[in-house]
Amino acid sequence: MIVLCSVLWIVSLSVQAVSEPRMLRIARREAVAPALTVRLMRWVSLVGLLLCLYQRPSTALFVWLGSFSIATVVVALGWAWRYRGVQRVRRTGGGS
Amino acid sequence: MSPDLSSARQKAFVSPSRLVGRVLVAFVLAWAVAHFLTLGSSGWGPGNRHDAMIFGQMIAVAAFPIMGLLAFGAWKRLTGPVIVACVACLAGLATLIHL
Amino acid sequence: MIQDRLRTRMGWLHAWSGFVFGLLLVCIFASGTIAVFDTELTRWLQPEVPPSATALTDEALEETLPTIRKLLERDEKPFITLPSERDPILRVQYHDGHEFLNIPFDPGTGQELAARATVGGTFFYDLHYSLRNGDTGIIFVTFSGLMLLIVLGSGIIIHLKELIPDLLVLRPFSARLRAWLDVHVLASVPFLPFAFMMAYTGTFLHTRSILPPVSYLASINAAITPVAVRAESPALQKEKTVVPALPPLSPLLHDAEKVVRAGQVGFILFLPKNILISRTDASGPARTREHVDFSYDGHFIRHVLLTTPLTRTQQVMEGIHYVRWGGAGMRWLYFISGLATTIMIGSGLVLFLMKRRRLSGGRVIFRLAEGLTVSVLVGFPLACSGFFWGNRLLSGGSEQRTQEEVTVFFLIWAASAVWGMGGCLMKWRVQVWRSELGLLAVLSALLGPLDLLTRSGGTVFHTPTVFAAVDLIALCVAAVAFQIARRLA
Repeated sequence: MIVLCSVLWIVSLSVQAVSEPRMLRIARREAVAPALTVRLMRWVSLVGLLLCLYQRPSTALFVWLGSFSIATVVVALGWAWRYRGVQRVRRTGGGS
Repeated sequence: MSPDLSSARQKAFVSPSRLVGRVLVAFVLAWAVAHFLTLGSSGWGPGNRHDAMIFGQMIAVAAFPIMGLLAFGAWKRLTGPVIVACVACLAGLATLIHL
Repeated sequence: MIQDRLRTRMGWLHAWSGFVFGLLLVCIFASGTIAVFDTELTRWLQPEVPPSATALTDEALEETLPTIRKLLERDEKPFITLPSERDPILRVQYHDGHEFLNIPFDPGTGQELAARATVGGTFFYDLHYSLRNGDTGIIFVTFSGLMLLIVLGSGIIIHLKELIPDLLVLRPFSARLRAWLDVHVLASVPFLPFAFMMAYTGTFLHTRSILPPVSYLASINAAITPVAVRAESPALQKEKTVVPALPPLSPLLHDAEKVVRAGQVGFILFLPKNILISRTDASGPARTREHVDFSYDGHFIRHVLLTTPLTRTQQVMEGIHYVRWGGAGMRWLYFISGLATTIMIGSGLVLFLMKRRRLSGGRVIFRLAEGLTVSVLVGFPLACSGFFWGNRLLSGGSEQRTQEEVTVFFLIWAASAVWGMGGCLMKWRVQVWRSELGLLAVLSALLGPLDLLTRSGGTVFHTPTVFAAVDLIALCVAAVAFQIARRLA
């Protein structure tokens, strides 16, 4: 359940990152208005909460919040890894 | 620069030693609130005194950081310290209550 | 001079209180994170004990009675922990004033298993809540927990506007200060619920030590008086304990199981007057410690379960702090979150030094602060690694073995602190960081091979989970330490 919840959170947070101006600036990407289905994906993590509640109510909140924390780190690391080249170029450019 | 502007700018800055003083004041006030809460709580429960004491401890641990940050953060016109001092007085008076 | 605005004021408070208490909080959080797996670590630290065992039998339970009797004669309060999902071995345990020492038994036959004496994973538990210093340590830890709440609160206030936009930002390849700040924010913001929960529940557990429900004068008086009374009556101390005949345990266990349900008994505690059969902490988020009491002649005395709403709340708060419920997945969540919180505090310490290096880098007090930071950020994991090495390399026959393990830990930590502070005072900053990180990388990387060499029947491709997990985590620590040492200017 922790893995499933983390995956759902990763999807949700990735969609959030794609529509966050600050994250797009880091990646030097143009902001594009996302489609409605993509925007709805932001709330997919709530399905995780429902599944957690269904499986074991006493641990649901802990698992859901814990997987959010882990997913945040995963998305941040993934984003940094994906756009490391952009950051390096910017740093070199800033230094010269 | 006019003297008014200069004094206004001086007022906008604070030395670290003054901040240490403020921290001490905020700490003492917040600690007083937390201490009085734990001290008085055992007398506030009509039935099980242990339960009342536990409840007092729960509130005290939550109240200490809130009171501390309020007293230190809202220093302008001493709003924060005054509010926390009032809460401390109330909590102190409440230690006299025995249900 | 500092601008007299809310954000700057809070920034100042966050930085200074964070640094002063952070030095201690890093150790508290790191040891707490390790202690999440204390039971599993005890298994790693006793490689002679088989990783799996047969189910518990009534005969095996009775076989532990002579050991219980011996411990009762020594005025200990022994208890038997029954086999569980986390640990399939039957163990007789007692508290030596610091840790819970254990004697393992085969749950099928009741035969005592020849295993090395070790302080086990509970060493980290004791270090976490009392710094291995009893009541004084508890006061320090509890006070630090209270201060952590202030540090967290001030951190939120200074970062309130960027809390959501910065949530996913990490730029490890940008300027060093920016990269560390990103690490600090990323390790804090998503884990704030965890950090708050642990700081609050942890402080609440021992509130009495710093906020007693009586006036401070009265509590100081109470702390002094019993000592005086004891000193006046030495005859009382010399009285030899008379241990009553121990009843067969299995009928008592089955009777207790009728009350707390089968499979829900965690341990059997032997007190001077009666025997307590207690519910396992793994049964749910509330740490009820529900118990059924029997007299030494085998008669039922009472069933104790506190159910008032406030007691239940207290039990839940204890339960979510100790996390002995929820299974392995939940414990891994706690472990990762604890690690992140440790990184949050550690990166905060590094940031504090980085921001002040240009202006105050030459001052003695700054160099001393940097030495202290090296001692806790690198010295503490180094001492932990040394502790595991000590456990495997110290000879098994020594009676003082448990104490020797602890001595190894503190000796390595002290050496690291002396080298850290001395080196920083001598302006060998980079060499100090590099040497300690390098040593940590080597010790941690070689822990796996050491485990394989010193564990009977150990093979690379068939390693029981507890051993594999510890070895792999040590390898990860080595990789991180190596990478940081490599990137140091």
